[in-house]
Amino acid sequence: MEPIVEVRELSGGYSPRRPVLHDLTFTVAPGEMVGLIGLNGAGKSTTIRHLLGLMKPYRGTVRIGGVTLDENAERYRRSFAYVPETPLLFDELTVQEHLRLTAMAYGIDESLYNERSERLIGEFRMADKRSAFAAHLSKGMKQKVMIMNALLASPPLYVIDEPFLGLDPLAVRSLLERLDEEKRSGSAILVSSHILSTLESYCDRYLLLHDGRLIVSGTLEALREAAGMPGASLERLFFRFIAPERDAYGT
Amino acid sequence: MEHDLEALRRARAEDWRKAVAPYVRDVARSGFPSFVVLAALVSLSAYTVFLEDVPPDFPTAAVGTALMTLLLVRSPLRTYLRPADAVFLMPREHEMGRYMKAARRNGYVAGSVLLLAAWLLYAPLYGKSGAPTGSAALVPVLLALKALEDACAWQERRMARGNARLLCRLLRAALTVAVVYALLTKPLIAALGFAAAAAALQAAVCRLPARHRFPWQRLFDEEARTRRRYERFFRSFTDIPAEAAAPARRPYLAWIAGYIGHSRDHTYLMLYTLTLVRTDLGGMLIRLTIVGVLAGAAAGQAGVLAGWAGAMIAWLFALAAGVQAGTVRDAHRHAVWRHLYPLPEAGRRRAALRVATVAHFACAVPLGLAAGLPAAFAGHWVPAAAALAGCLALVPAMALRLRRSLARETAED
Repeated sequence: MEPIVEVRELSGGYSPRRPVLHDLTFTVAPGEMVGLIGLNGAGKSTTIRHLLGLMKPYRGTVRIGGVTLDENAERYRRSFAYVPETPLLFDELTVQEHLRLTAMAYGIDESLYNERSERLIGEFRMADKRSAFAAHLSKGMKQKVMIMNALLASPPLYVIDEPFLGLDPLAVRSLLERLDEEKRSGSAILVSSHILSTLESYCDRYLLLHDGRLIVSGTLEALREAAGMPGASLERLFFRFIAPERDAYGT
Repeated sequence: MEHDLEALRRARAEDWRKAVAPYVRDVARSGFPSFVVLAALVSLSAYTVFLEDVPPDFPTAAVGTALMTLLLVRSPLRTYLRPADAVFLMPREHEMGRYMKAARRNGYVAGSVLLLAAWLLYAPLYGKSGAPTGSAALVPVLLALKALEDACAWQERRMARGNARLLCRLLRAALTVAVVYALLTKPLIAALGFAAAAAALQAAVCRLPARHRFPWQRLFDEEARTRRRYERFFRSFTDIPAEAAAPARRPYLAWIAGYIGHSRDHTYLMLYTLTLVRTDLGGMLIRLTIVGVLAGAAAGQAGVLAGWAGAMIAWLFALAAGVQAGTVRDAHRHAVWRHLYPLPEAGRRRAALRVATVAHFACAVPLGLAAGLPAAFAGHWVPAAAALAGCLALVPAMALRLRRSLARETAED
């Protein structure tokens, strides 16, 4: 099966003299959820910014949906929806208007938009906030709107950065259930988070970044094998790969 | 400690002056002050000519009441407070009286100077109307009235509920209209008696609603609005960093977006329409149109310069509306959203042009009609037709200018 994300020998960052990412190579296939993990400053957000096309690689290529951004910008951008760590909303638009704008941008017809938006508004318990301006929402609610926008587009790929921050427990559950549903229907999900226990329960594979390098990747079983720690949790494995001395204290 | 807070406000005012000094220099270099001086001289000259032959039925008292009420009711307060003060200054709320004293004093002095300047301009007209009280005798009364208005405005700021604040403000505006009209048309003693009764009524009503001890949020909002107003003004001449504005719902206009067809090609059209309607830009266009309509209609009605003054006012306001509407293209220009969503860039520019042109047309029509119709009724057909035609002609002219500017922007990108 052709991967939806294909990153080959990607080096990039804010200045060519001091690249943040070094020779990253990984893929994300349709129907899988991949966890992007690492310490603060490991390069997770920079990797995501390269995937989104907000940064240009110094070397290497990023393909989404089989094309690079230069080859076919429209197809590239139609292939994913992005949920940023900090909600990016228009202060002067209401929750419902954000959903409509997203539907229009992704070319979703009106009846499908009505059906999907009603379902999402119900699932994320935003019915009484549908006419509220984004400027008047709490941080958690803004994050819900971002997630609802992404789910409304139902693209082949979801790129999600720290989705759980600010969400109430019910919203976290709704999100995870919906992501699981999207995954089963064939969408790929790349999720970056520090909540390792949640990722462990939902992700199929993991990409562990450290100092801009992909130090290990694979399924939980593959990571356990690489670390020589059968049955270890993702958190234990994380410490073993990133900070072995901290793992020693933990054991 | 109290001295500290006074010093803090002074330091903030000084910081503000330093921050805007480069922009003020840019404004000075732009030739705008020369334009203002020229416009003032032309207006003064036209006013002098008008004073020599005031029509007997000219509504002198109504004009004076409108002018004075506008300046009396408006009580701006420059506090330099920022939202972070909720953390750092709020614990010292009991000391804020000293901080606010200078703000109130400066607000009163600036408001009074403006009021006296307007009165100085109006006094010759007032003198010709056979007024019962001398214009000099009304000066101390107006200054006292200004102090009362400022005090009431402070009480309104303290009100916890927006509705109560609005109602009190409307009541104050209505009472001010009545008091000023009484001062201009009735014997002084009787007018003063009425003013005292109105002040007592307003003071009593102000005490009814629930009030904050110190209206932090209100002052934060007002200060942010003031900064944005300056920012908008300076941005007409130079590039300055923007502050986010609070959106206004404006349901009487926002319904338009609901009628935009649900298709991918209309995505930016919907975004720009809502942006124009709900942001400061829409508010500014509405205010500009209302002021232009009133000024054009008054000038047309009075037949100043045989109806041409109204036409010129309409053109000036239509031009300003066109320039302002065109700035919609700068909205979301640097938003990450447009780089993430699968939309062609050409659609964004097309939508900006369309929204700006339609908005300009919607402003130009009432401006042209307001100046043209009274002139036409007075028999000044040529300036009446010219007022409307000029306003309408400005719409395609400004659209063409905007289209060229957007094309240049595309080429630069």
